[in-house]
Formats: sequence, C-alpha cells, structure tokens
Amino acid sequence: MTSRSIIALAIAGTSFLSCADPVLSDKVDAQGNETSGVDKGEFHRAGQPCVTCHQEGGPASDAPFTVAGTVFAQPMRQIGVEGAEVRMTDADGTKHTAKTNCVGNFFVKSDEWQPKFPILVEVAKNNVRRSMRSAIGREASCAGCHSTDLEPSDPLSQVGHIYLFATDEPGSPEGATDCKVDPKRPGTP
Amino acid sequence: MVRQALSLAIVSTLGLVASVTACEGPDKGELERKVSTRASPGSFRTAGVTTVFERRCGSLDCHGGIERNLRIYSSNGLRLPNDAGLRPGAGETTLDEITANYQSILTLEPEATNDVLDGADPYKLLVLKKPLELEKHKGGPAIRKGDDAERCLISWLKEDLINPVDKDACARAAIFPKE
Repeated sequence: MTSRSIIALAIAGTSFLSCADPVLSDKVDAQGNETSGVDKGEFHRAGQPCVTCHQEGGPASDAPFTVAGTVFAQPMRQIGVEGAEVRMTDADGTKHTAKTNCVGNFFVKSDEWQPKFPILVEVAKNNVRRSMRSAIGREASCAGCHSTDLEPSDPLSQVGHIYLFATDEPGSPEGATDCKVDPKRPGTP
Repeated sequence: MVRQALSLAIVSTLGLVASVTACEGPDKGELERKVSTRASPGSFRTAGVTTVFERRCGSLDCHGGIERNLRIYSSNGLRLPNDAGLRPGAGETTLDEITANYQSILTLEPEATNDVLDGADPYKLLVLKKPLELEKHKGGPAIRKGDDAERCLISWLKEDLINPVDKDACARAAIFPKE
C-alpha cells in the first residue's frame, strides 16, 4: 500500500467518524440489549423510544418511523393492549390511524404518513377512549416523554407510560394469549 | 529634571482623568425611565395569555423541556419544584409557574423585548416569529397566521388603556388541542 493510499484511507476514516452523531449514539447505547427470547421485529423493546433507532442515522434507518410507541393496559402494570387504535391528527389536519400489536407496539412508517407537528393523539379500543391532554410538539417516540419507569426518575418533567384502562384490560388481564412473545414488559409486576 | 517631573505629572493627571471618565456612568438626570403598559404581568395571567403559551408551546417534548432556553411551565407539562407534589397532569398551573413563564418570555430577548414595549413591531420577537414559522421552528406552526393565538399575543404586546388584551381570542386560543 502506498503512503498516498494510506493517507486517503485515513482521511476517509476520519470523515466517516466525524459524521456520527454522538448524542444519538449515546441515546442508542442507553437502550441496552435486546430482551432475551424476543427477536428484533415488531414485538421488540415495548415501551422504549422506537424512533431513537428507527430514524435517519439510527441503527434501524432502513425502517424509519415518523411516530411510534406502545400502549399498555393500565397504570400500574405494563401489559400490551392488542388492537388499540392510535388516532392521530397533524397540524395540517391530515389524519392517520395505527393499530397496536399484541405487545402494544404501534408504528407509522415514513412511507405511510409524514405528519406535520404538532399532532394530536387519542387511543381507543372497543368503547374506551383516552385523549392526550397536550399536543405532541416534535417527539416522534411516545417514550420520549412517557417513562417506562413506574416511578419516573424526574417526576417534574416526565409522565408515566401510556395506558388505556383504569385497571387490567377487560377479558385479557394478562394480555393476548396467542401472542408470539410475552405481552408483559420484562420486570413489570 | 524639572521638565521630566512636569511631563510625568501631566501624564499622570491625564491618566487619572481618563480613568475617572471611563468609570463614570451617565448623570442620574440623563437616565430616561420609561413606563409601558404593554405586555403587563397582570394581563399575562388574568387575560389568559399564559394559558396560550402553556397549551401551544409548553408540551413536555417542546418548551416544557428543561433543556429549552424558553421554558414554559404548566399543569400538563413541566412543573416547578413544589411542596404540593404537583406533577405533569395534576392540578392547575401555579402562580409561581405563571411568573416563571412571564420571565421566560420577557427575558428571551431582553433588548428586542424592550424595543417592542417601547412601541416597535412585535413581529421582531422570536415568540411570534418561531410559532408563526416566519423563522425556522423545529416545533412547526404552533400558531397560524391570523388565528386567535396570534390575536391574543399581539394584543398583549400592544396593550394600553384604550386597547386591552383580547381576552376572548386568548380563551379560544387556549382550547388546544380542541376538546
């Protein structure tokens, strides 16, 4: 290898490294490892900030989301609600509805809907409906504000996870029985 | 020898005069104290201007975030440390939080805000330019041109004894999201 090609490689390597976003890298690292027994896919990492990875520049940039999150059944346990509708309206008045899977995850792919923030959200299943009190200004991951900790570490600026019912889901207290993975978030009571 | 001492004395005197002049502020009589009726803290609260900022700007992912320089506190967003155990989504926005919001807004651009309180065009302020997207705003159009929120804020920034804050516009603008 000539010294010229070594220099060229060094420059290329430096410019590649300098393009990495250290803030994003830290956020990705903070998500930790995959849960044992749950493969990467639509059921993984329930309750975590999906768009940290599923965005341009993120490790899942091949499947970018514009909005994504998880709907749990009740405030004190984290068991996903299957088939809940997440109804969203953006600043231009366009609407989109996403449905949760059996761990409660929902996601909107970039080619499905490109909302203009702020967006308004309500979650509904059967005859139960909950509307978010404030608009979402810019955060594409629900977990950006909705902490998965049952006691948020900063109670002045964080809110708990999203839930649809006051108590366990009627008829499915332990979540969907035919779910490929456990609809309970690891560590939940 | 005498000439040398004389020139030293002159230089010292000049230096002393210069330093005294440099430290001297304007005479008290020259200070112009202005009182403005515009953007008053009273109407910020009672006419519901704070509620418009809280609803339109103060969500936890926007100006309800502690990392923002324009920080907005509200009952549904960021809370000031409190002894009552108030968290996001609980109770009402407190008087302390309203005061903190007022200070956030007025001190975001002190000089420009002073100009506006002295009669300059309110549209020079970021608190209007950003939500109206006259300047790039990551949070998008939090206010639409010509809507009630704009009327509310403009009337507050221009308020005087003859032209009070448009309370009705503020009340309508505060219904956000539409309930």
